[in-house]
Amino acid sequence: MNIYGSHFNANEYLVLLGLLVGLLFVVFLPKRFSSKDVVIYFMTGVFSGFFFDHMLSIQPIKFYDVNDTSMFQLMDFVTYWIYGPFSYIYFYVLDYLHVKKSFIPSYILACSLIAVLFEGIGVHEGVYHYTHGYKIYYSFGIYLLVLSAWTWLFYQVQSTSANSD
Amino acid sequence: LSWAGSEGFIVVLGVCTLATWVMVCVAWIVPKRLIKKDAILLYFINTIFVVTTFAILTLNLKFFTIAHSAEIQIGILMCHNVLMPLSLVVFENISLNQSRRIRALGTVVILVSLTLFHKLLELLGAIDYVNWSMFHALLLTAALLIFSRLVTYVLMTFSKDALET
Repeated sequence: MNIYGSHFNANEYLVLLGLLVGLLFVVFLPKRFSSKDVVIYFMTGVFSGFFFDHMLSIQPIKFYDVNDTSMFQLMDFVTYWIYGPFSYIYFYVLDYLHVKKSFIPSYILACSLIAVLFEGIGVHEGVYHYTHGYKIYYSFGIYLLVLSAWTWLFYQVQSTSANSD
Repeated sequence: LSWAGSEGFIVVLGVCTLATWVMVCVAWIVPKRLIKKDAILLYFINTIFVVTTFAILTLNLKFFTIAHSAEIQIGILMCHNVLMPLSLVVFENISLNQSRRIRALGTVVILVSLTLFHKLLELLGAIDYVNWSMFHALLLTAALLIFSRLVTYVLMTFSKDALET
């Protein structure tokens, strides 16, 4: 088991601050979606966090640890909830800007770069600890795939909403 | 009957892939009682619950361990991220059926099949029971079904309230 720290320090503060700021955005942004859509768009990010973290943590090649130890801690659980506001804001801006289909790849690319930037801050503050030679730019490819899947999901949910209206 | 060597690992991967494929087909075929958005949300929440529960049981409590082989880890990943959450969504679609007999039969079939599948993974050497037994696996499966039932109840109440307002 790898231990990177034992105190409540920068990584925990960053996680809590990130979650708080994200939740403030979710709560105070003007309403654009129905309550259920808001929950779906929020949970999409949380789900992706859990899904891909466990996908990249396959033994015997575990690509990264989260927070202070390689065990599953309460703060790890909280960390994955940060992806919730990120996904919500992603869908919100996608809907707000009425991004044309031809510009969607550019939007995904820009958001993937922003996601890598946030991950870089997380690595710097000790939220993520890469192992087995994992590099931050590997995450860029994963973000491209994840955000593409999110965009597909967005149009699926929107079409369901349009049909039910 | 514990399988050893890389051939055994590939057998486990094959079994997990087949079981996941069967469950995807069942989910496709089974009459849909849940609306699409509820089904998506339920799948997300169930995945988070299953992944977290198994991470705590294996990494922290060490009730059972998973073999350190990439093939087995990928197989287990498919089970935790697709097979089990999807089977819970199928369970909910069956539970919302009008016929009490179908509901009871569906619950027993899913409860027994998930428990036996867990035991099969142990027999194949994918997981090693340390402080665990088939009875514990049965209890865990029952807990997953109860959790899924509760989430569905909340989602449907939420939908009803949204319709009324």
